[in-house]
Amino acid sequence: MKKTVINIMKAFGILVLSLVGLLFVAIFAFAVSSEVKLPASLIKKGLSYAPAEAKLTYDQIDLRFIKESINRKKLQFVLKKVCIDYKEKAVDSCFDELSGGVSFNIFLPEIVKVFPLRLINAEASLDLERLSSEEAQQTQSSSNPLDFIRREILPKWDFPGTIVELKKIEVKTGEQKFVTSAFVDAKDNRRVALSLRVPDLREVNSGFPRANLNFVVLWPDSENGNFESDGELEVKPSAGKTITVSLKTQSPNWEEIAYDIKAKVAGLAPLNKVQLAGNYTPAKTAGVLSIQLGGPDSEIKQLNFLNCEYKLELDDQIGNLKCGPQQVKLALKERPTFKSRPAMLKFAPTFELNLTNLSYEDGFKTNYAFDLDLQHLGFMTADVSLDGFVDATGEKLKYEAKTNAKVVVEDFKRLVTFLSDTPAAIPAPVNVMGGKVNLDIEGKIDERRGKIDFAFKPDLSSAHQRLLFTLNGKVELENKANGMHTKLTLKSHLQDVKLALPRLELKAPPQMLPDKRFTLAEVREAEKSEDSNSPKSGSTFAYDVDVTTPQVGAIEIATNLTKNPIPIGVNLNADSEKGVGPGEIEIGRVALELFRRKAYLEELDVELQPSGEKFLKGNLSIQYLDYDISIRVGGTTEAPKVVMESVPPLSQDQIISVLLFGKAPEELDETQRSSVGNVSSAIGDAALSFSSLYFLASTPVESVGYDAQRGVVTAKVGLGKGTSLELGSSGQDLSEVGVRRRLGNNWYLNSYVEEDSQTDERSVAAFIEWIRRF
Amino acid sequence: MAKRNLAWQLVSSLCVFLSQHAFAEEVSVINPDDYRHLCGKVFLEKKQKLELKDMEQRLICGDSSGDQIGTAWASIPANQASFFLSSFLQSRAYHKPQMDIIAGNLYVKLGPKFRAGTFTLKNEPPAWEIPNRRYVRGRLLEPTLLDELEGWGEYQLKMNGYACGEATVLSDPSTGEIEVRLEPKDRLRIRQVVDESATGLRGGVMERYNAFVMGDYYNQRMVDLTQRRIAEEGVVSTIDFKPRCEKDGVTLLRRIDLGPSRQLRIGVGGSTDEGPRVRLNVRQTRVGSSASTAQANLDMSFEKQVANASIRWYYSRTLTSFFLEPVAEFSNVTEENRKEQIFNTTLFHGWFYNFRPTSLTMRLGPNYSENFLIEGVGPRRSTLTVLSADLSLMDHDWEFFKRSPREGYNQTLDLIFAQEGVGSQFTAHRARYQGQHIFNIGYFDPPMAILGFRWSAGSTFATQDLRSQLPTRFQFFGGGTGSLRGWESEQLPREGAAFSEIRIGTELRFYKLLFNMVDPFVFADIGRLGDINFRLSTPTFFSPGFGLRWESPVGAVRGFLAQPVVWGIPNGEPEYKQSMRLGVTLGEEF
Repeated sequence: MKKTVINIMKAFGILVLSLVGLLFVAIFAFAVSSEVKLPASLIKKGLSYAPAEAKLTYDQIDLRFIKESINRKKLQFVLKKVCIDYKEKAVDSCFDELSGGVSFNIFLPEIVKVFPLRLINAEASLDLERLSSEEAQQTQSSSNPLDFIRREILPKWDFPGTIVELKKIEVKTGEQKFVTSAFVDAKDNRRVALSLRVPDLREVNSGFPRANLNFVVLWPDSENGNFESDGELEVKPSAGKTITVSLKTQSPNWEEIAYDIKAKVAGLAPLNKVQLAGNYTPAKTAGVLSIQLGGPDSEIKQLNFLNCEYKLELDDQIGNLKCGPQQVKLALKERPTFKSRPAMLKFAPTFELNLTNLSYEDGFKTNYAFDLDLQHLGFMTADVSLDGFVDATGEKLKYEAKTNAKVVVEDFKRLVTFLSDTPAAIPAPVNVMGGKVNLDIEGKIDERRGKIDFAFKPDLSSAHQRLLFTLNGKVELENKANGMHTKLTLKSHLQDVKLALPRLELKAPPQMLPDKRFTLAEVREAEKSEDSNSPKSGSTFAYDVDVTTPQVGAIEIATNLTKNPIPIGVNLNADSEKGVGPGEIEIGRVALELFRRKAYLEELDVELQPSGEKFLKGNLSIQYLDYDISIRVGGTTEAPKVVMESVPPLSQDQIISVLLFGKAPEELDETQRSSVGNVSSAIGDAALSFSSLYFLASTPVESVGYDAQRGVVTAKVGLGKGTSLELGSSGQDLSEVGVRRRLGNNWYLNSYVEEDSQTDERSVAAFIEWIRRF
Repeated sequence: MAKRNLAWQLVSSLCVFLSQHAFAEEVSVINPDDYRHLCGKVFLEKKQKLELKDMEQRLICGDSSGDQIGTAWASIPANQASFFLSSFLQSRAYHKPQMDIIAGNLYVKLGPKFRAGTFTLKNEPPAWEIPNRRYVRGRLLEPTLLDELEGWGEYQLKMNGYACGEATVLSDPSTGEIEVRLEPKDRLRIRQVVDESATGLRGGVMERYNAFVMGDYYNQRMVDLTQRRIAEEGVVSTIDFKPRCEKDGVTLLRRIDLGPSRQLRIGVGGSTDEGPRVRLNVRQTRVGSSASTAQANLDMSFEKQVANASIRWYYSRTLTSFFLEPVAEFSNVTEENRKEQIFNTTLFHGWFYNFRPTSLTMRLGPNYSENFLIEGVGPRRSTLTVLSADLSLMDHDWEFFKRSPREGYNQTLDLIFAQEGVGSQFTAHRARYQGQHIFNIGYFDPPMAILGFRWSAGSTFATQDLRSQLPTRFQFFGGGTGSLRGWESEQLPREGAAFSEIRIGTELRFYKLLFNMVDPFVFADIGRLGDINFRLSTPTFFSPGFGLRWESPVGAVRGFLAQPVVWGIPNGEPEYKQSMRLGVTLGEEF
């Protein structure tokens, strides 16, 4: 048994030795043979092992190994008229010729030299959607070919003589399609010209910019470097906009690159120039950054941040960007109409960004700290600090930002002037005020939640106005699975607010706000999205706002409708669940001119309920020679209940008659009497809104109409406009269809068409009539 | 290895930043020379006009008054002016103005005025009959147009029983589309009318004016007509109805302000046939709890002085629309060849009744008249007693649109009976049937074309020998705007009088076709006159023509040209003058 085992082992050993011997013989034969050409049948056989999804057609493939020395062979390949179709055109490429060669050491796995490459007349298309995600992942995970090329191919590439003609490269992803072409020509001995053009592809994809890249590389004459490049990239994203980037690099060796990038921008004001100059090694990059803003047509003519230093040290995991202290000139466009604004402002910002624990392992991660100190703008100072971290190494982005900012507008008038010509101009009536504004912000935010506290304190005034209040608030954020939940809490304490309303006209007020009825398209879109089954965002916005004043009169509103400013006190709460209310707006005693008489609004309280109703409680007093009339207002603002009382007592109709026309009912003409009845009915129906009531009281009206069915009150204002159609009958024999025009108290112009029923004779009659009901 | 890609990531980040800004919306380029200074910081494109109201001007240009308010609102920055101006322009149908803020100035191109396109109703109720809404497409898309269409939609609901229906309107300026969204709620019948306060009038008094019928579906037009009838009659000072929608129907809340019941009118004026006139009218619009009426009238011109008095007495508590109407009138007429005094008195018994689409009025009573001829041809004194009756059928739509006719019908039959020995020296009767029917072709609102027909057929029935004795009320005349428009009033027959007639007129009017305010119309009237006992004779009178109508602030003005044509003139009779007639009327309709 033992002998048998030994014999088997011997036989096995002899077999192995024979195989090794054979291998060595084969290698030796391969090494000493001057040229080995792979037969076409063998290549075809070999290609049969390619993946089934791949289809390769060709006219000619020539692969041969040529002896260069005992240990070096050159693999030379020539492919002609080749087409590759992978996964049903996911990758589809054809070219006329691909030829080149690689020298390698047959005993060591090492590339010795790469010979010039010729790719002639190639076209390729790539459909990213057809490529499976797994494959994409595979491609990503094995994402070292660039590194392999940089380390193993480029230094050993005998580049001169390389010609690459990529006539058309098409990359599709969904409906997007990107088409480009690239040409590399290294006919000149060391200068390699690379041109890449993204043509005007409006027919293909209107959203993609036009771009041209022209690059000249001075190829190293030795394996260890002095690789230089000089190129220009021009991108035209849309009409009138151009970005021109010039890039110069010099690398004494393959591990270090000195770069100088200059970007010039046209049509993208205020960005003008960006310059980046520094050194790059795989572990560190550092340099200076300059940004120039401004242009002849830009609001900002000049704003330059020069020579900001930056560095990134990946091994030490730190980064830093520091600007200043330096004097920065801000030149604004000159305006002849605004001489007061200086054309040039000088300020000294200092900002610094520090990165620590910087890492690109499996993603990006860093801690950061940013500080901005802006002290000398003249009217404004700002001190902003921000720190935290960003971690993009996991599946989800993690971040944290803690901020502390203090902004002070020292001279509000200068801010108004500064912004006056800009789209962010301060609106009237605040823009005539001067003073100081403070804004303090403190907050912390991360990927799950955040909280930002702020305090806004304006202290502004002008000749007739004042704005002194504090606004303390906080914004709370919470990122839940169904979306972002935001809550705003505001507490506003109005200490002294005096503002003027614009001069108002009640007779024919203009349309002050956009008419929301012109939004059919938007409403339909909203309805469509409501109807569709698309998942609804769970994002919410909640608010809780408190507005208070210490006493009635803390707010004073000046308006042309009253002789004196209207004193107001507010105690109001609004939140997103209940809406506005509960709360109360109190208006203090104010003199008015109502019904052509001096009157006093003794008090008016508006109580706001969360239901949206606004309850009124007010009292007006009007003094006449013979009567003291008081009007008590209750109910709601939309449907106020009005009770009129007088001393000595009068009926409601009598009071309305006195108020509207200054006469007792028995002295009224027919139209006026009808108006009194209409007003009485409208008041009874609570159909007069508070503003309508005020209009009636403050404007001399000729007549008032009331359509009870529709709850519409109409008023005719001014003499000479009281034309109304009238239809009536007088007696049994005449019918009249005519027109009545009121001329004045009891006086009318009436026209009639009279028809004699016996003779059919018609005649037109016109009378100036005095008509009186009694 | 990831470190090696740092440079690439930095460059790609920069590219993303640049591309995001590069793809930002392009800034429009304007040339300030193309604009003129409007006011303040606002510049308007040359050749464009914009009239601003005072308050609008202050809000976009600043208030220059220098007082407490003017100081605060003296300077309006361009962004604020832009905000206000957008709304002002929207109210003028400029929905997409181009506004550029450059160097603190606002440069405004008004752009086109937007016009209305399609008009649709959404959520229309099943029981629903509405006119075809017209005159929307092409109109300026202003908020006032939306107000109008919103009101129109709601009114249509309320005319079809949806008493508490509501309508809201939305529009898309880019397409001009206007959509009125209806919320009909329940279709309800009128259940009852409830007075909000006691009036002192007995039950049923106000109901006699009702154009609606209890139990019918609510119809706003009929409620409006009821209200108008009461106002026109002057029974009360003010009246209004307010619908209260309940589960089982609509309750109409009626509020009445009685006001004084007496009215005095003193007028000085004139008329086309009598010249200068003075008149005095005293009227009691509410007598007793039945709201009967009484009036006295004195009307004086150089030619004619008339004094009359009448009472309409609603005598029955149960039959509230039955009335007795005694009328007495004395007139003194002084004309070129005639001077006479006439005393005329009538005692009518009348009744009126409203049913669904129409109201029926009937009057019947004796009439006594006594003529004293002072100068002129004829008996010095004549007395005549007749029995007079008239029956009128008036469609509610005709009544509602009486001021601007567009649909409905109205028909009248009036009869006079004179019997020898019963207060009369002869036996003669007269009958006349007149009517008018107006069609809104295509049932458009507002109407596109209005086709009207009117007719009259009548005759006096008596023996031939009475022709010379029969007074005017037994005679028929032709010509005039209410008859054959090619001839002047009472121009036909040329000599004497006719004792029968038949005529038909038609008119086709195109509503506000010209300048959106003038109605052109074409018409044709045809008729014949004849002798006693409806013996119509030749010639046939025909008058085609055309004209224009304008609803002026003082009434409808109509001007027309009519060509008189006469067919079948008996042999031996002279030709009729056939020159074109120009007619102008005020207040008259077809």
